[in-house]
Amino acid sequence: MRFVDVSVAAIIGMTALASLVAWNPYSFEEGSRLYLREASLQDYMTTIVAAEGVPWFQHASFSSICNRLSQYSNSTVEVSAVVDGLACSTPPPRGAPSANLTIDVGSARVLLQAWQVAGP
Amino acid sequence: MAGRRAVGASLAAAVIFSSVLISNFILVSAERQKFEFTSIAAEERGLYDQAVVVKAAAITDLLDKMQDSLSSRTFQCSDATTAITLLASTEKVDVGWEGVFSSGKLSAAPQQTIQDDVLALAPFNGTAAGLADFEVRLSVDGKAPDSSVALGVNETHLVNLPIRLPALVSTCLQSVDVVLSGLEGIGGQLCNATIVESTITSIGSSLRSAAASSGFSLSISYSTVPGTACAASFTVLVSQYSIDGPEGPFTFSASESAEVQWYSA
Repeated sequence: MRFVDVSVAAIIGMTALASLVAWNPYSFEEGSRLYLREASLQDYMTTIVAAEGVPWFQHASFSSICNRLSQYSNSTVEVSAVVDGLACSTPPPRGAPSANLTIDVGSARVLLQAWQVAGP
Repeated sequence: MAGRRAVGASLAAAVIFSSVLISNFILVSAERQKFEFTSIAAEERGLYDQAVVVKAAAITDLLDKMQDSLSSRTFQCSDATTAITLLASTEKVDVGWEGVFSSGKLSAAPQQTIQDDVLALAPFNGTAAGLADFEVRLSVDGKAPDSSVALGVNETHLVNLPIRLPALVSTCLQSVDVVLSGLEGIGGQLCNATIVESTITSIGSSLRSAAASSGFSLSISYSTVPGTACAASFTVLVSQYSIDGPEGPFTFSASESAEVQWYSA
């Protein structure tokens, strides 16, 4: 009888613990944080495009785009670009919160990239 | 007695764990809902940001076309504004990428200073009295990938090309008047090419200086036709060089021709 009780209690406990692991609110919370960070990076890139103007990206050279964008990088955000297939720097590290914004104007195609390099 | 205790302990464990599970379920549901809202908001934001860039690119394409049309010909000073208005009304564009598409149509805008919120178009956003001003009617449609988030708007924006059109036209037409009155002043000596040349050289020098002080380049070409009815015809050409257009620096030119006749007695 006691063995049955202990078994039932153990099953209840293990099921509950398994459920707690499976239904972990942290994964959703972390997902929300990631979306917010990426939206913030996207906004940062839009601010850069607004400041420089889309027409500037159309006729600026690869090196001047890379130089200008590097001025927008800081201790927490790295900004780079891929201009007609040529990358200004190494791609964002895997897993880092990142965002892209494409500018396709005239004969130029610029993929702006921003990623977080350190936590807030 | 021991059996009852065991059953009680099992029941208590069931109640405690159930409470923990229910609390966790409520917490997970709330976090999941927050995650869904955040993901939709992020998709909306991403779509909006991409739309801002696509809109700016559509308008830039229109301004590129307008720059090509304006720099590839010489306009008539007295008709430049009308010609540019007609030219603008023929310019259309369709652009799109990353799920966002935009169609635009250009037309001339009234001469007044109005700011516009298409900030990604600096320095061509908004109109300014004294420049070549345009209105763009845009339709924008977009859809975020793998999502129900969609965008559909019709907007009107004001933009400019920094051609100082009214000042250039005014310089041109006033210069034509000055040359005309100068030539009319020499009367019957119109048949004398040397006098015509010295008159135009003298007038042209002061007109060139005046135009240069306004940032324009001015030149006068002329020809004389001797005979019973002596005639001199001339053309004033006014240009604005190094205009910072969306495609790079360009030149805008306009000219006006006139003729003076003198019937000898």
